[in-house]
Amino acid sequence: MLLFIARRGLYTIFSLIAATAIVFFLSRAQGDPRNVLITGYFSQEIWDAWGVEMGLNKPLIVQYLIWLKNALLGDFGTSINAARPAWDLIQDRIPATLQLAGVSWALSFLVGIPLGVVSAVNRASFWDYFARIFALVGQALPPFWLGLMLILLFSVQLDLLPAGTRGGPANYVLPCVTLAWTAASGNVRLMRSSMLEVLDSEFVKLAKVKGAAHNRVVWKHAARNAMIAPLTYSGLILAAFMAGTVVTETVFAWPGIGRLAVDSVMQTDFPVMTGVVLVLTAIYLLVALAIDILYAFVDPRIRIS
Amino acid sequence: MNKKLVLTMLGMFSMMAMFAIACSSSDEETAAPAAAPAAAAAPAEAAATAVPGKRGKQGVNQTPPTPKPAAAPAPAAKEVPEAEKLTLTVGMKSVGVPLFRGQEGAYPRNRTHWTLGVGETLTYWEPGTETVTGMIAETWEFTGDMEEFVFHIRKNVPFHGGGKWGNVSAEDAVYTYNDVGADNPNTKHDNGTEVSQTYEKWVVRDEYTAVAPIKTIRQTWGEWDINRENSSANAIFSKKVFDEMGPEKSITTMVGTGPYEAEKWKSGEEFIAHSVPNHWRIQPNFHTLHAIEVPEETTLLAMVRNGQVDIAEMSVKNIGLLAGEGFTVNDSLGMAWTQVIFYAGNYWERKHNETGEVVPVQPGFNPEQPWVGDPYDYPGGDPADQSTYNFETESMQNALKVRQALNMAIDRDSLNEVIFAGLGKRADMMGVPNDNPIFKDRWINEYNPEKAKELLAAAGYPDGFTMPYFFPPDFGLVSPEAAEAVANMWENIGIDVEIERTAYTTRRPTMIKREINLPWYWMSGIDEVDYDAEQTWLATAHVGWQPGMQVPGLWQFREALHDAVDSGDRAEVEKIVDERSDFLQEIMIMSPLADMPKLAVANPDTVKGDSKNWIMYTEHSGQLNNFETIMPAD
Repeated sequence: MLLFIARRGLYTIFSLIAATAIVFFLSRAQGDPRNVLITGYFSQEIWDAWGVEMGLNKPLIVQYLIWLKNALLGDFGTSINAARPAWDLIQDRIPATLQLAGVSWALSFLVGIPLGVVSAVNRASFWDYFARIFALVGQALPPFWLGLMLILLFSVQLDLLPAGTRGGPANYVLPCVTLAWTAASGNVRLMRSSMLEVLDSEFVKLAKVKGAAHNRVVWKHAARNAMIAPLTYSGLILAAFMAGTVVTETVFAWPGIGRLAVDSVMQTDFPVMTGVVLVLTAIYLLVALAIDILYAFVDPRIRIS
Repeated sequence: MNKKLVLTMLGMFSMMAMFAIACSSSDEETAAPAAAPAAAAAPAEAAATAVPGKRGKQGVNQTPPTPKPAAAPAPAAKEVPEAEKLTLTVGMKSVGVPLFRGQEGAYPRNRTHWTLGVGETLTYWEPGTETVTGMIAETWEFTGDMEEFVFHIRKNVPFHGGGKWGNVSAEDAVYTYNDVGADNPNTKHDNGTEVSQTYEKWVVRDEYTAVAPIKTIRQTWGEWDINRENSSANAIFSKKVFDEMGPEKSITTMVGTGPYEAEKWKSGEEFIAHSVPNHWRIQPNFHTLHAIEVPEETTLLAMVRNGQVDIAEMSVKNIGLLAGEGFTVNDSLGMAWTQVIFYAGNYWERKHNETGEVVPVQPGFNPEQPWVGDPYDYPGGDPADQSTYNFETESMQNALKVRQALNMAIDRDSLNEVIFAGLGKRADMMGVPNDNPIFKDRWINEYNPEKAKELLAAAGYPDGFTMPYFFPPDFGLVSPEAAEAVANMWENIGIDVEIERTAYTTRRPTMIKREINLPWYWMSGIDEVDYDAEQTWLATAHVGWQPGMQVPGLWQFREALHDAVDSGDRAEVEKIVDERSDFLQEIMIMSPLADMPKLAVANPDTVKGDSKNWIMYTEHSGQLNNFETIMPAD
């Protein structure tokens, strides 16, 4: 098991370094960030002074290695746009994204899993059709469109919920529904198919024959065993939510890390850009690593193979 | 195995719970607020004298401004009961960045201190009166030998922070301007280079006298020092903050002198400020100013409609929609942005207009492109010798026909009616609005798609051609809808348009390096006859930004125009504007489309947001401002 964890850990570190290298060099492909600051009365002296200040006067590979060393020490450089440490800006935005991702993930899990179970247990019933339509629609709707429609209905027409920005509990409803619906749809479909398989298995039949109560058979015996696939999916969804809620954050004026990433690209603010990508990649890889490890605990065949 | 599953689930739920708990108290401020507001700032002691200025340029031939009668001091604030403290909520595309040092003032973020009422400048462009008026500077003058520009600083103007940072003195003005660029080669301020070219290091003469030794008086001097450009760009910051907090922390220590004192300012999120009791200049009607950053316009539209924001900035089209629903439209900013197409790639200049040096062929010059002509492509033409420049070459004439066809395919009236909801104005000539008395009918661009096709055929493209076309959808003063509409109009005459929607900052380096060589959509600020329009579309080989055209002769128009303006010879000014405009029409190097006004929309149920009750300063970057004067609805 330790070997398995060590191997996965090494993969994670290599992936992280590769991701930072790609993002660092791609960010420079956009051009020298000093170009953004040039005015018509510009001089070579100013260009050189900025180069020293921003560390742009060295070869690109050296710049990357310096950046990587500093990043490992928690220093991502200074934002060109905000003149503050990039890490400070990232730190400012992480809570908003975690809140949105966390609540949305919980919502997708708490709605998707029970609905999947109910759908499988009551095949061809109203609830089954409802769950399948819910899943189909949820996976088909693009989040930006869904978000705008929800705003139009609940904020403008019904005046029940705020249209955007971070604030009290009411501010969470629309963005979380927007974000959670697609993920919940995936959970419904996975849970339903997994449940159908488990419900047809011998141990479930045995439990029924032994006279176990229906709910006990469904929720204690079947659902728990059908949970492996949705659980893996949910873990990846959580990582994706934390790393990529750009559209939802933009539509709902939610000041999260996704918007920071987009803004930094628009402003050629490469210290923030590379810092954000490093953090998001790290989050994603760490969650994926955690899932791998948990999965290995759950299913010993994985660590053996 | 089931137990493990349950444990796994519990573990993940616990993680989520921890996230939620960890995040629930995360509202830390981006920038450090100053200490508690002053209990009672000293009233404006001296009668506030103001000095009239002159719109436009102020050259060496001009008489220095003379003081005008004192403005009335700000009325004393009444103690407002807690329950009556009102909040003004504003929806904005960007709330800016809290940067409280001159050095960091890249455009347009350096305007935001002032537009949000946190910072105050030496002078300002007084709305409605069109005069330069003293703000932190009570008066100012040239010395007789024109070697110094002397500012007399207003007394008893406290910095925010409850007295911790003291009152403004000459030392603060000197520190600010030296940091902006008079003594700082590392500055990122967009006026930095101008300030360094104009002044030697500023010095303190006495506690309330700041002296700016003049290095060179440039023709653009007036733009950068006491008129609207500068009046919104250089808020005065505290030297004491810099000394005590250090060069890094002083950047985010939110200390200004304005009527609003910032409590929270998070870029990308929101700005919250409270009114300063007994402010020396004006007492805001709203106790709290809350600006929210809303990047998606549809969301902002919903927030206006459901009352979540009182005031918003948005596209003209959506403001037209809201006006139809009874919301108040405010046009007091007085700014309109001419939407324009530049036919980039026509780098014809080969001689630097100031140094006389040979200008190399620019990397973006490719006469194979249908809209690009080569004035040196004839026997005897020498690309290294501008004296052989010839507008009549076949290449130049065919490219001209193509540009004329592209221009003729554009239906400007429809653009204004449909895209700008009739709130804009048709534009046919750069730098001269169509409704200006000196506008000439001969500059009106005909809309004639059939004739445009004929011109294309005459230029050798009867079946059209494939043409790349760029516009920056992220730049607020550019209308992406109008840009797309133009592409469709070109498609209608047989051009296969390949649209490139790219962030402006991504494309900007190609302008700096003179690599850009495709038609592209941009804007230029204008509010009257724009004698300085070349600042935006100057077609020369000067270093810096360039829209993709270098045209011999344009610089000479600029020089002549500046001289005429400085001499005060109105007839000469009009003559040169005429000649310049005729020249532009002849070479058809750009297609102005429409003047898109910068408007604000307000909720009439909560605020008096019309243009008579809320008069904004004309501000170069078009940011909404003067919130301190807004009154609640009756």
